[in-house]
Amino acid sequence: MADGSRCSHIEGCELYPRFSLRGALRIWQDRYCNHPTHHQKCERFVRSNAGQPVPATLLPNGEHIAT
Amino acid sequence: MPDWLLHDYWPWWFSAAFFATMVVGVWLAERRLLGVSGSYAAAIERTREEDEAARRLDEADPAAIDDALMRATLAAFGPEAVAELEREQAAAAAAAPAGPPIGLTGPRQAMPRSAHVTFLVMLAVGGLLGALGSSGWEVRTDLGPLHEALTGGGAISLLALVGGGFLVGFGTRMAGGCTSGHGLSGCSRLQPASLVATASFFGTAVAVSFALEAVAR
Ligand code: SF4
Repeated sequence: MADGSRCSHIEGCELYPRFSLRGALRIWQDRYCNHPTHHQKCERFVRSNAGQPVPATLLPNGEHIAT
Repeated sequence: MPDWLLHDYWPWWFSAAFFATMVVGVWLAERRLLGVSGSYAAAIERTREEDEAARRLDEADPAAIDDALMRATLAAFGPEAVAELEREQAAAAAAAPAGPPIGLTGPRQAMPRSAHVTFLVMLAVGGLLGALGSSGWEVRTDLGPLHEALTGGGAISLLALVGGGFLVGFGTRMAGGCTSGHGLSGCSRLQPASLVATASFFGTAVAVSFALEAVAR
């Protein structure tokens, strides 16, 4: 949905409480979460809308954080 | 029990103050947003893959998570994006050296499934206590005289309720939240998406209830 605003999943997205103190998260937020259209390409957003599992390690570009 | 509580529904001002206290209290105490559909999804739908990923992060060394996130960020956006962020952060730190960065809160572990289940069970228990303390409790398969007039009562009423429940779940999933997540938590923080979502579903509810009333007459 091209609603011209930021991602509607921000309130519940597990990426935020997990990584909010980590500076690098800001870059992901700017490029995906707060972007008016790019958030629709976020793998977390796409998977969540499709009812698929969204692991906490999944980043918006589809890569996983390798711990 | 005070007289003003002994009605079909609690007075709006009491419910409003109660909800506001809960939402703000949970935010202040836990830095978490209250959301029924989110808790339901976490309790019911969480898969083994999600549990496993959450466990790995919970057990990982925070410094290792920092490194892993930074590696992934460098791989995705390149060193220039990271350097730019570091310049911004250095400038912000020089301008306001004391205190944590604005808007940032500490990283937290995911709530375990048991916490979500407890929250959902307590919602039902709270509703039951509220009903017992006011108008009383009974099992019904309709939503009152208007609903019964429209559906004819009995099994059809029940099916309409179940169908409505599925539609609510579908819409909630599409909108990324429900009346509690968007309506209470999101609107109280003036989140634009929550304001739009809440205006949409409340506006639709008001319009549909007027339309149904007109049809039922
Ligand atoms: S990570 Fe993806 S789903 Fe989560 S808030 Fe950002 S854009 Fe939305």
